[in-house]
Amino acid sequence: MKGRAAALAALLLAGLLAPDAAHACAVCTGNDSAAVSWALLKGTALLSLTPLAIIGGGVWYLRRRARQIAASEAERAGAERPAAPSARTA
Amino acid sequence: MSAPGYGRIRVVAEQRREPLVPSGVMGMLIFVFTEVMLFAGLISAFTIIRSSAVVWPPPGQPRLPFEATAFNTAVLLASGAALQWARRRFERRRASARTPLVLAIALGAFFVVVQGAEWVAMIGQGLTLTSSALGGFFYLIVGVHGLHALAALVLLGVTLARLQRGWLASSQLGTAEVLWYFVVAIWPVLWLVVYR
Repeated sequence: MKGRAAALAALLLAGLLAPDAAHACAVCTGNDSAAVSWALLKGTALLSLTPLAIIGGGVWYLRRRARQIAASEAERAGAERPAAPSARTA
Repeated sequence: MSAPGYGRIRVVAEQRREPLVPSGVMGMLIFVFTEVMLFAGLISAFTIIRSSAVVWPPPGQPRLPFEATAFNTAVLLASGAALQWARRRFERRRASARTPLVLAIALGAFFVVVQGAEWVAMIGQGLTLTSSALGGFFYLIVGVHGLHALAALVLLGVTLARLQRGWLASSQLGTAEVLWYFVVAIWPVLWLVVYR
């Protein structure tokens, strides 16, 4: 167990110290062209940012809607509440 | 307040709060979220395959009709606008939403029919599902979108039938709207990525 952890640490260290040798991407299919790298970057950005944008948009919409409902309920409650008796009528 | 034999009874006024988002709309939004990710994956894969190709379109394969499809894209966008018009009229007087809703369905059906005709023309020119990566992706991406358009048209048809019978609730129209706006909004992206 101790040996395996040490081997893993050595592997990670080697990756950090020799980044060129460790530079390998499972999805790059060995193609080094700039167009493919750019397409991979765009694909990664699209797939990473889309869910965040949708969730962020959803949270923003729900907060806005909650505020709208709270405002309309407060307005309705204000309209239903009887007016306080004035000094003359009391 | 007390009632004989029951001790003290507290009368609680139960108030139904307006939901943040109607259940149907929320369900459709969750479905659309998963579909957005499906299309994002397809677009991503298509972009990578296209970038790694030396020649595009692949040799012996036709060029996709970018310009001709521009008109069809405009028709689909007009359909989305007609549905927005239907919503506005529905808010004022429900029965008056019928004409714009029929218009939205007609424009959407026109889009699907023209897409079908385009598929037939493309098959005639030798672009099939197995002829090349372009053919595979074209029929997969555009076909998945077409399926969504058909499903959304069926939902709009059900919505129209409910409207005519006077049963249509605002949330039911909203549910159909979410799906149709998704179909309308994703198409220009697909058109620009796949056809260009």
